[in-house]
Amino acid sequence: MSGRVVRLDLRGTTGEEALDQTWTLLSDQRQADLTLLLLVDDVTALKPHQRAYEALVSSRYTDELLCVAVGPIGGNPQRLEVPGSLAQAAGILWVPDLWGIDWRLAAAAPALRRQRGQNGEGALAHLLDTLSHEGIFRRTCELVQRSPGLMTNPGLRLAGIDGGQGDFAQAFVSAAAQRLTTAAGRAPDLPVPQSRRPAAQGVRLRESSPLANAVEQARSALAEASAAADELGETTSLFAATSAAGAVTAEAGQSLDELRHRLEDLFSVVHASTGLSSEQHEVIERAGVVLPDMEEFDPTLTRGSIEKYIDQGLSAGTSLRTLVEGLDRLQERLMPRGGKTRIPELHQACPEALSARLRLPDAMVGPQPWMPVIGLAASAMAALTPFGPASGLMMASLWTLLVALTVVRGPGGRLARHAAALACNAVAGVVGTTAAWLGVIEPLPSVAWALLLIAALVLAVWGSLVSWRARTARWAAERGLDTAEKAVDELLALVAKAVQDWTRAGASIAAADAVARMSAALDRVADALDDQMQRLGEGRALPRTRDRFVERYLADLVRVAMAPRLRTLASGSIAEHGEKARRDTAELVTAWEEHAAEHGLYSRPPFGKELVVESIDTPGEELPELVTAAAADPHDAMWQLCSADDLPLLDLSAAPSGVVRFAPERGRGALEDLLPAGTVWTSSGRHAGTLRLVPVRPGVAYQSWTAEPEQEATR
Amino acid sequence: MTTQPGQRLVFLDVRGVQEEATVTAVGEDPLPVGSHLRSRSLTLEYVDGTPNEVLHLSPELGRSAGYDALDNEILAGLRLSRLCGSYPYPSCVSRLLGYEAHGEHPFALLAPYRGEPVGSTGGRILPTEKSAFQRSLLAGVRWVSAAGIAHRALSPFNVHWDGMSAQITGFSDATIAGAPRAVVGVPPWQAPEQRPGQVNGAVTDKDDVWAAGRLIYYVSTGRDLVRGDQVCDEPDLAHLLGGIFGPIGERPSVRELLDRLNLADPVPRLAVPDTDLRQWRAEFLRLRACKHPHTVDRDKPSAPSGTTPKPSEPPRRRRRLWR
Repeated sequence: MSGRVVRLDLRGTTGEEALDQTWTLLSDQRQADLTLLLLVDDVTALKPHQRAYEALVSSRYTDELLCVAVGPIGGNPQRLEVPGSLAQAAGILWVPDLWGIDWRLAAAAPALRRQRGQNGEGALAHLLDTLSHEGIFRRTCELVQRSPGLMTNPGLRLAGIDGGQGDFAQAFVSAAAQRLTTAAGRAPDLPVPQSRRPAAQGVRLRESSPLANAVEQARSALAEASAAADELGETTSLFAATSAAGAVTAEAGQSLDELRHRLEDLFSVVHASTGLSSEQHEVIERAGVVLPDMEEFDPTLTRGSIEKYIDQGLSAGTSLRTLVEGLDRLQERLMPRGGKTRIPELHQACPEALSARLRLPDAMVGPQPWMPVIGLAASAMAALTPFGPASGLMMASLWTLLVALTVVRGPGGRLARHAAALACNAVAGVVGTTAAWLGVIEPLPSVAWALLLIAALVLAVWGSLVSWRARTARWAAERGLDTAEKAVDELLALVAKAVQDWTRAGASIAAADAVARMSAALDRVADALDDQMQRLGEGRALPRTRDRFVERYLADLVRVAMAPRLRTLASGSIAEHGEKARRDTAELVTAWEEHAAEHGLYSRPPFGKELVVESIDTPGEELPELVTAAAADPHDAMWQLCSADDLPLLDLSAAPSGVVRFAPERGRGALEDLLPAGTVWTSSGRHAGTLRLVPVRPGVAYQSWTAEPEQEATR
Repeated sequence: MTTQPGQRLVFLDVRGVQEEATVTAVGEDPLPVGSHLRSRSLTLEYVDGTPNEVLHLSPELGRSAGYDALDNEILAGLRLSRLCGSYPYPSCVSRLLGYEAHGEHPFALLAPYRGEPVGSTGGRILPTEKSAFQRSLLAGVRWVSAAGIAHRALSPFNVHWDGMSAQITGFSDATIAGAPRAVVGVPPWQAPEQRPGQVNGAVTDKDDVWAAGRLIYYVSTGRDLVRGDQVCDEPDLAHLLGGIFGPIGERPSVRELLDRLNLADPVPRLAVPDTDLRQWRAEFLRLRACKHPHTVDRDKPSAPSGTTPKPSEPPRRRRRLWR
């Protein structure tokens, strides 16, 4: 079984028409499951529709039948004849008045009228909606059939329905105040609409253009400088001609500077925060940057994003002003970044200090502190030859010359700057010579002094080469050539980003314009709601509880007011969009007010969507309201579906004859311990409340098995 | 007096030539709260059958401030018209078409304002329109200063925007450059030197720059300017508005602001303010005092012929003609 409650409304039909409708339902192949049937009929038509009831009861399709008989009972005394077929098979709920009263279940309790409309179904609509849930239907059927008397009169307490008079103005003011409260809710995310074009992978420069040449020059100068720095450390660089490493490195620094300045100039001129002008296009073209096709604005992307954002915000209860602020922030994010905003990034990628280190390289550091020791040892070894101090002094001189060579061959090397170090090395040589000469007592064999002399020479040359390589390596590292090469790549990456900004500028600014129009329109919708709230709220106090139905309809109103704005978001002035949104909103509110006056506050207005309660989540803040409604004391004031004149027909001694409590299954975990046992858990997302059944006095309604005269005539 | 369809209006145009027209339609057109003028949209049919839509300004009944306001509208309109001369009239300032200043029911006729007050949309305009707004507003301020007057009450409610150009309207608080400053304008658009307790010196061509700068910031960012250094947070605006919100001595002139936007002076070089207006103004006030003595503030120096009071500022400045 599907568990679906089928409704059959026979009001306003003759006996034949009712029978026809009944046969139509019973023979409808699309209605697979008629086991749960909710019958609605006029109380004055129960007898004339007897054959229709018999058809229903005798068919094998129906199982549980609940009849809602609508209308007052006439006559003096008031008595109602109920066909036996119906009385035997169905539970009967009697609703004498569509609008009902607020009434406490007590004999002397006064009744308070509820707001009436010209037409419409008032409380009946809510009763039928409640009985349309399987669990509630079955429990009600069970209780009604157990109830004394043939009929019962229902009373309702529902969550989300204002406990007051159902006044449109009050409910609207409360809902509008909630929707306009600045702090209400957090705006949903609103990302920048993503371009469908894939991100560019690099920048294209026209061959032989000024920028391409500057890049090429910088790269080749840096490569040359790197090569020169590598060569500087080799042995030949020490003993061959003076290296040009310093000059080559300086040139590389100038090329890097030149490249960065060109890019700075380009970004300064092409500072397009409102899209590229034709002059700026020319400047880019002359610089040699190849621009891809300019991106076109796609209004569908922007429309989709904004529509989703507003829809999510409205569903989440976010205030309109907060949504407007979110749109304003999106507008700011969409504004194209002018080229000037990228200049600090240029300096970050290629700092001034980096190019300065290349352009103005420091001189190579001087001889290391350990070098005099080498000189002392070499001179001492040379002094041990038969030539004595002469060879030692010769070695000292040679050593000093080698040290001087390491100074003058290095970039920026000047002897005068390192005179002290040279003198140190010379003195060390003399000291070594003297120490060896004074220390030798007997001459060494010829093989020994020959070997010593060679060793002294080797030591001197080796020492000078070690010193040279260490100092040149340090000089090259300090230049930062690797970093400089990466800097060129980073500069080009920035140009690629700038190109992306430029090609998207037009589309971005058009999107920003579209967002600005929608932001202004939504702001004016809020203004219009505020105006209406002031108009309707004058002299009224806000109701104590929120009316969720009205709030949902208000959200639908905002969606409908914004729909034509969203369709035309790509054009029009802000004033136009704002004024139309304001006017449409005012018209919709007026139409809703008229509709509510005619059909009742909870009747769906023309712009309202059917409330799919299953789709409404139960936020935690609503739980107390649900508990209050579902755990209501049946003797407390409730919405009784009768008028004050009908109260004498109710049997209060046996009241209530039944109480059905119901709450949403989704909230069961939080609610189960708070509600009485026997609560019906419904699949509805937020349907909660209490239905009480007050029996009608015995004798008011009586069973009858006689046929109507028209039925007698057809036999 | 209520203007009604069928009524005949007799007035002078900006060249002083008498014109007649018949009112064929009337509509209300409310001015901002606090204005002492009543405004209506009229359709006039001239003698030659030409229809024309105009804005009819008249003083609010029983208020002398209304007559002052009307005077200022007329005289500002005449100065601008005569400065413009044979050049095309700029769209960035409102345009006086005619006036009747001496009759029992004085009024002024202006060309309908363009667009809507920028304040009616909360200062919102499209991002693509912001540059055009800045340029046209500053051009309007330049025209006003070139005419030798200061508006003194620029705000979002008397600067209109039609999607292409700003238009400065509402000259009811305008005065001539060189007149002593007074408390005028509405916060937060009042320049510091126009606020109670801070009024000093004489009106200059820089008096409107403060409000214009503030309005540019408001329209460009959607935010109110609370501190002068907020401008530095907006790189594009920092260059344009630099120096405006500091001391008046360091405030740039409107021509400097136009230079910052690389814009040429919109006022033709040969256009000069009409100094004959001085004499005309004296005659105007004499007639007004005769016909409507209650509208003339007896505590303020009147302007009889030949006895214009000297300003307290250096003598080379213009003589004080208005209050």
